[in-house]
This record gives sequence, C-alpha cells and structure tokens, in this order.
Amino acid sequence: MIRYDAEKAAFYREKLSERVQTDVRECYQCGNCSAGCPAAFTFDYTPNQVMRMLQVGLVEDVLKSKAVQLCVQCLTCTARCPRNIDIAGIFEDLKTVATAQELDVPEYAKTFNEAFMGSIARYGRLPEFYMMGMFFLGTRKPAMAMGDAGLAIPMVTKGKMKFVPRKAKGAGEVAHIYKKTMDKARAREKAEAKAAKSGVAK
Amino acid sequence: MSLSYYPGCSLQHSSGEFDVSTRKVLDVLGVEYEEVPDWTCCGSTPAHMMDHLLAQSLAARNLRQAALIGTEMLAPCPSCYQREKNAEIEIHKSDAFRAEVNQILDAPYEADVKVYALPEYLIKFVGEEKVAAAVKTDLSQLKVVPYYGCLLGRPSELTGECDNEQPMMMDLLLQAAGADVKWWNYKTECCGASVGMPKLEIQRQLSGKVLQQALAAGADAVVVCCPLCHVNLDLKQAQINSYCGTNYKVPILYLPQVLGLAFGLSADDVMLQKNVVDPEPLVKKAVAEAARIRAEEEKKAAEKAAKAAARGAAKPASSEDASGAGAGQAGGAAGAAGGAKEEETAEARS
Repeated sequence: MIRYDAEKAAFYREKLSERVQTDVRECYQCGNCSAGCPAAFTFDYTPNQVMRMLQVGLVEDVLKSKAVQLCVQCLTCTARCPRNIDIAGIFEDLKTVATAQELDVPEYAKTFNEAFMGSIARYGRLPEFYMMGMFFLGTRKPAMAMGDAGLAIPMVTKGKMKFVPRKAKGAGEVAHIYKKTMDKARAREKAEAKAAKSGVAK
Repeated sequence: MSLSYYPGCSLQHSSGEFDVSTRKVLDVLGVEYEEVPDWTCCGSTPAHMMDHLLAQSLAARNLRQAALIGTEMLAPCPSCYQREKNAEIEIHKSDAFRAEVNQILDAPYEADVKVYALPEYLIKFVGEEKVAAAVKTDLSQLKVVPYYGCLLGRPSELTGECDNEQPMMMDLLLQAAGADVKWWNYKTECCGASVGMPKLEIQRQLSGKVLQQALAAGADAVVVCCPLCHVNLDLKQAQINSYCGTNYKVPILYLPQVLGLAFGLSADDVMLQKNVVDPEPLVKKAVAEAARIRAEEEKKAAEKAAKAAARGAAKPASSEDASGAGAGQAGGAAGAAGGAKEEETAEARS
C-alpha cells in the first residue's frame, strides 16, 4: 500500500517551487503529458504517474526510476500541460538531484553524462570520438559499442570524425566550472540530508 | 557590426557541412559576423541534466566571450541555442543569479548578449523579402518538409515561434527560397537524440516515424536545422532501416544547404558530398525538372503570343487575345505586334 508522506512531499515541493518555479500540486491527472511523451513507452512510470508520486512524497522511488533517466527533455509535456506545470523542468531537476546525491541510476545515464563532461573538462570542446570511447569503456559492456560500430565507416569516409582531440584555449576554465559546481551541488545535498535527519531526531 | 557566431562542437566535427553552408549563406545575404573568440562547449544535454548551475555557468562563459564581439550571438545548433538562451534569460533577469554564476567563472560576465537561432535570426534581421530576392536557382520542384525537432520550436515563449506545435520560421524561409514546402504533422516530434547513445531503441523508433511521415506528406527530402536531428535521420538511416524493416533512402538537408542552393551556390559550396544519404541526384533532378517546366511554359507562352500576334494583325485590339499566364512574359513579342492597347488590357486583367 502506498502511504502519503506529507513531509517528504512538502520538502521536495518547496525545492521545486524554488528551483523550477513550478508546483506539482497543480496536476489533476489529465494525462496529456503521457499521451504526448515520445519516450514513455520505455518508462517504468508514465509522466503523470511521476507527478502523482511527487504529490504523495515518493521522491526516492522517482529518483531511481527509469522514467527520470530516460526522459529525452524534448519539452512536449511542458508545452502541452493545461495546468502550466513545467514537467520537463521537474524531470530535469530530478536528474540533477540524483547526480548530486551520487545515486546509482539505471540506463547508463550517469556513465554518459560523466563521459561527456569529463571530455569537455579536459579539452574544452567536445572531442566526439574520445567521448564515445570513454562512454563505452564506462559501460564495461563492449557489446554496446557494436550497436554504433556501423556508423564508423560513413563517419570516416565522409570526414565527419576527428580522432585526435585538441585542447581548446578555455579548457582550464571549463574544468574549474565543472569541479566547482559539482562540489557545490554535492555539498548542498549532503547538508539537506543531514538537516532532514536531525529534524527526524527531534 | 555586432554579431558573433558560435559554431559549437558538432559543427566543428561531425556537422562541418552545417557550419560551412551557414557561413556561405550569411555571406550571400550580406550578414557580417565574427566567431566567438576561444569559445568552449555549451554543456549540451548532459550538463543541464547533472546540475543547473553547471549548465548555466558553461553557457555564461560563452556569452562573456561573445560580448567581446558585440551584443548579439548567433548559435546555429539548436542544442547550443537552447543552453545559451536559457542562461541569457535567467542571468539577465536576476542579478543575484548573475552573481552566483560569476563566482563560478574565472572572469565575470557583465554584459547583456542576446542569443538567436539561425531561422530566428534570418526571419527577424534579414527578412523573407531579402531571401527571396537572392534566389537564383529554381527549387520549385524540390519537395521538402521542414523538421524542427524539439529545440527550435519549444517552448515558443523562449524561441519566439508563433506556436509550440506549429512553428513556422523554417517554412517561411524555405517558401521564400522557392522550395515546394509540404505540410505535415511531425514538425516538432522528437528524434530521440538525447538518449541516442545509451538507448538506441528509442532513437531508432522515433526517427523511423519521422521518415515515414515525411514520405507520407509527399516530400522527397527532410530539411533540418539541427546537427543531432541530422545524425539521427541521415547517418543512422541505415540502422533505422534494419531496425524498422524499412528501405528508406530519404536525403536529409540542412536549412542553409537548401538556401545556399537556391542562392545559386554549387553542391560543393554547401558540401552536399558530406551527407550520408546522397542528396545530389534529387537536387539535380528537381532543378532539371524545374527548368523543363519553365521551358515548356515559355514555349507555350511564346506560341500563344505568336498566335495572338497573328490574330492581332488580322483583327486589332481584341481583348481575348492577351489571356493566359504567358501574356506578361511574352510581352515583348505581343507588344511589338499587337500594340499598346492590347498590353493595357492584359495588365488590367492581372
């Protein structure tokens, strides 16, 4: 049985109104978001179910869901919501919270993001081939690379791939930005978790 | 001149043809620009899915670099455009947030740079009239559908489009360039780009639907303005075919490639050879077909004018002689034989 956790619901709702300027309480379950979602067929919970879960405080289940990680951020749901809820903004925020809490999320989302950001922190501009290499190494599943291996031939013959990455001039600053912001986000989530714990103790 | 040009990572590597054709089209239209000095990656999809401040700071760094050139920045890649535009709006709206971002950056961003996407810039600052006036090659037989994808139209309050579901800027530009623009309902459907690597199935299914709908709308080619849409529809078309059990061979053109061709640039100028599904046969066929139709029309008009002239000589000033579309074009012949009065009636009718 699902139990309504008012405290958790209120806590995350406040975060959302602060960070995304949107209120999940507005949702009246019309299902427009799920009807228009191009990726919902791969989700474990549809977008309107995610809205309901947030309303009742099932934040932790949502954070670990496939739905949040497989959202393609196409903004169709936000554009079509009759209650003007920024649904894609909420999904985006959930992804950032999962990252800051260093959760193990499904579907290699973390691996991909880290391969991408690691690459640009090193070179400033995205070295596509290097990034792909880092991603497939990160998945530790060489078979996954085979899915895209067929692309290598046209990319090489059409001169669309540079194999040796070069460092752009602003690379140092990109690395600083990456480190500073991620440290800040992790510290924020840790402080919040601590505050929540001491609140419970009282 | 205050326009800076932010190519972004994709245009540097996998989508070189988008970069080159955009620059050439801007040159033809007389738009002056300078590349953003020492630009870096905008952070694209991963950054804003990891941390909000990270995404806005990466984008703000580029805005600061763009401010060295001027107050306007053109970002042809819609992914870059969305990131930069998001940062622009939030930073310019709130001084507190600007201060937060400036704590992260190595040097502060103090200016107010406005960010534009390619169709938006062309519509707002160049205009359809100027685009139409630059047309040299007749593309009226090139049947295309404009594919906006997610990031060019949504959300419309950010992109300046008229509607979330029916953006129009690419339609208007293609019409101004003289192409045969078909109406379809998949303008803003998603191609699945952001999970293209971790989750191949989503991308293949979504992109397959887009191709199917383009053909159903009567188009021979899809026009895109996004490197990721292009990769998914063009480079991965063979994979889509094997996944969906189809046999598509639909050329995917960049908007500036089509504009460039209309402006009389060669296939090499707009780098058609870089597209994986070869668009050259289709473009050649469309141009030849347009020339054939034009020649036929001219021939008909000339025949009509000759008849009119012959009748006009026998029975002058008959108003029926000057009918038909050819009257204006063949005015030289008709006018010389039929006299001024006949031309006047033709003009009054049109």
